[in-house]
Amino acid sequence: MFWFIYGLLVGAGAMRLFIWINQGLVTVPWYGWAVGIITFLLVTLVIDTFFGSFREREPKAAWMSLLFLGIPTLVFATITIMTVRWV
Amino acid sequence: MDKTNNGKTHHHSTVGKKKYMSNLGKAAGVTGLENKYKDLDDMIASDPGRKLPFWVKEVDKPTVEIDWDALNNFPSMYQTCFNPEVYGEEEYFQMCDDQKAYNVEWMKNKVPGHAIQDNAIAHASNWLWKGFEIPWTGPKWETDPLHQVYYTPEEFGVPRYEGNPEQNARLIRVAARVFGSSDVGIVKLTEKTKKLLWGSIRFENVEEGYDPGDGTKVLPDKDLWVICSAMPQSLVLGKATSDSNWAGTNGLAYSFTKIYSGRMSAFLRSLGYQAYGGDMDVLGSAVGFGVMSGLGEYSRMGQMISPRFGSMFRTSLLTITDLPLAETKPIDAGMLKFCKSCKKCARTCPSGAISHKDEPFWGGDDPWHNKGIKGYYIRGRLCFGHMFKYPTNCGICQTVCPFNKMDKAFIHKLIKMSIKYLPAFNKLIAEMDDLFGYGLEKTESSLLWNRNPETIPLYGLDQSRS
Repeated sequence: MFWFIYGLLVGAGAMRLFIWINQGLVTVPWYGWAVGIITFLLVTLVIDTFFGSFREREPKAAWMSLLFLGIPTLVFATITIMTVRWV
Repeated sequence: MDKTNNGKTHHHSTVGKKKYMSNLGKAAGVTGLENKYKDLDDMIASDPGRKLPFWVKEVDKPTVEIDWDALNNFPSMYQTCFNPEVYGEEEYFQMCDDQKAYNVEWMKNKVPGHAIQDNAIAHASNWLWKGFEIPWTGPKWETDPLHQVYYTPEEFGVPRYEGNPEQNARLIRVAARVFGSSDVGIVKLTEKTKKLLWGSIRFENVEEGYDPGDGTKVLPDKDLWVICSAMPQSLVLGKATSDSNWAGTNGLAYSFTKIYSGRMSAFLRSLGYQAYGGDMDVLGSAVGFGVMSGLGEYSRMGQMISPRFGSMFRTSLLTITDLPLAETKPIDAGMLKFCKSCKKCARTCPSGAISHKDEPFWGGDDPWHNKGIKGYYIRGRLCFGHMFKYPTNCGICQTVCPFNKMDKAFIHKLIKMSIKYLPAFNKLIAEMDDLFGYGLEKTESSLLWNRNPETIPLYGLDQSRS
């Protein structure tokens, strides 16, 4: 159920972005897409590892993964946002 | 549609005639072979049914180096370091007395994990492991005069089951899953692999093997295959290994293994084929056959590690049959290479029995060792001395192995891929495993009795064990 809701949110977000691009409100350069896809994969990995570790009864692993995977994810997310140009 | 023997109509699966013919034609064209399948059911049935993750490669030689000329049959299971014959009566019984004294003291003092209920679950789990023997040629049982001892084709007066080796292997795998094995590997007995049998196994020019009752066992001198079944062990219980729960997971798995062994033998006999093994550990080296059949790789702690189940399975249960079976090859998932830099089992071993050397070595100098394996020979006397003297029934090495994970998080698969394809990161991965807190559960709340009972998987076997 969690991943279903996650998929809905990601799908809704992507649709919103495409509509804005279609309306000419934002532009995303090619490298923005590349970094954005990496960010999306990292966010998915962080969520999966964090909650998966709790389900494994490994709370320390959950928090450590949030630290070690979360920081690079934040960096990539920041770069992604910076590549988006509002017209 | 086919009419089967009992007159019922059997529907074969189809994907539409046009697509089916097209696919089979493409397959024949690609392989250069003529179409050998009647239909899709036939094609599926001819698949031995074993799928390995893509990062696990089948190889011709196992990752552990074996000098087959130097390797000789080890005498029997009674000469391994976990048996009283190695120690002599005086030392052995002294260890027994010490263990009992510690056990009583720890129970009285309610040492965590050694309260009377912990002992109770450990002892109860051991039931059926010992004190119940299955004959060499498989179990025999009688219920009442109306029922036969065996339902063999011969007794029914029908022909025995016939199939090609791939179909037979699939059949065995399906039965193995039903009976409780996580994975099955198959090794044909050759001049080489016969060296993995105990020295107490003899071959004679007879049609059927038998038990002469003198401590040896006789196999017929003909084509035979060894079915190696990985028997799962509870990681839930194992993670509380520093207490008696370890004995629970250990004994529970052995008890199931004994039931499994009887059922697999009975299954083979019911198909109309011979089956040998019966009781556990009477055939040969579980690790040796397990490695040769590709169930796992040899590891630093001397046990086998599976790329999917880690080290948390109790044994590779061996059953010998004359049912022709498609063989499986040894595997390389980079695990032995990982062992060279990890050493977590050696670092956590309370008795110091596991080698810290970087590279494996030719050994076999102790009486419970076998020469011919370039491995990490453990100091068995230290291991078993600690394990048996104190009532811990230690299994720390097996439990802390980084390949044991509950597998709820996808990242474990990524790590396994890295271990195979990017071994330069192995040391970092081993250090991260420590940093992330993997290994033994240490908090009081994580002990067995404080858990919500409904969170304990049936038989203690969570999904990652199968």
